[in-house]
Amino acid sequence: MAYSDKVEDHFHNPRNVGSLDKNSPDVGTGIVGAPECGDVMRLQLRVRDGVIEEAKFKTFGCGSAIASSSLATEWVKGRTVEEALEIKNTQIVEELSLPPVKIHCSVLAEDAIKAAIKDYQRKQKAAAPQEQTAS
Amino acid sequence: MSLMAKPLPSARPQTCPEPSCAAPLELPYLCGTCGELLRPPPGLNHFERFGIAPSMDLDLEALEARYLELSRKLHPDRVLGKSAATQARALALSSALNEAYQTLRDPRRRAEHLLAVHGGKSAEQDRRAPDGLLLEMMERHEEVDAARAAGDGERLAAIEREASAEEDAALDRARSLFADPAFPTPDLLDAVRLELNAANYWNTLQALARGEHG
Repeated sequence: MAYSDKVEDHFHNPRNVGSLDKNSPDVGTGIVGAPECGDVMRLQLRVRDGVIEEAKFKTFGCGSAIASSSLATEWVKGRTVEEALEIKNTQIVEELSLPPVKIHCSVLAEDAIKAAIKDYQRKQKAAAPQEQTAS
Repeated sequence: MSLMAKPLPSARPQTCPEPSCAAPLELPYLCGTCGELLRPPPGLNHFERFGIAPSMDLDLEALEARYLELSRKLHPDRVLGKSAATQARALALSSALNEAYQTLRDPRRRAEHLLAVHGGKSAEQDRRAPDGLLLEMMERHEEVDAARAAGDGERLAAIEREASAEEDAALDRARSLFADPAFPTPDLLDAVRLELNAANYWNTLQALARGEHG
């Protein structure tokens, strides 16, 4: 299958590949998978004062999955957590010109962002139990 | 209610429509007596294509023998002098038979098809993975990468064997679920889906360890 230029670019020069300390309280980790093709993706965010200041990913999968997660890390950086939650897979499809058979790759990237933020929020809640019991 | 009294489904012809033949049909798309190729009913599943009951437990040798026999009967060369429509039908039937055979001979794809035949969800519709499996997958994929970077062929082969055993184990659990007397309840269908999702991940890992995926 022919990939679009943008997919090729992200595939050959992926942005933000790597990992962050998953035990750090300001890091959220999302691990998601596509059971139809067996691809797996890990996306991590470091949040400071509600803003995502760093994002890393590692994806084992096809070029479209790698490009989708690479793009996702670029897009979330500098956004607030709330803004990052608004990223839709359709925007990734559009940006990368993904064909219909590769749409699930973009879904994976959106799910990974949401899973990472959920993990971060769970940690924040767990780290501040006094706020919940104070009132 | 007597089963005998139940009328046979009328949508599919029971006998060969070729007037000079009119022999009983064993398969809905091929007359075993005169060799006439018929338009298959829509939605024919892969088991029906072979005229066998949907099941995980197939005799693969018998399946192969049947495949070779039917391949000959459907072969486009057999209808070279016939109308373009008949030639096109031979081609379509041959291609569908190939797809049915490739699906049924592979245990994972057979299970996937059997689940679909019973109305179970596809992987796209139910993306769950067993607890902890995705994390384990990330680690195993990283292992494959490290082994490949180090040129460690033995390690890659070992990972492939382990992943193959894990896939077999998931398929065995799916096989037990299919064999449950209560099957197909919604819970059992979902439980099969979860096992097949796991099998898919292990299958992909094997391909990666062999250097095929990507």
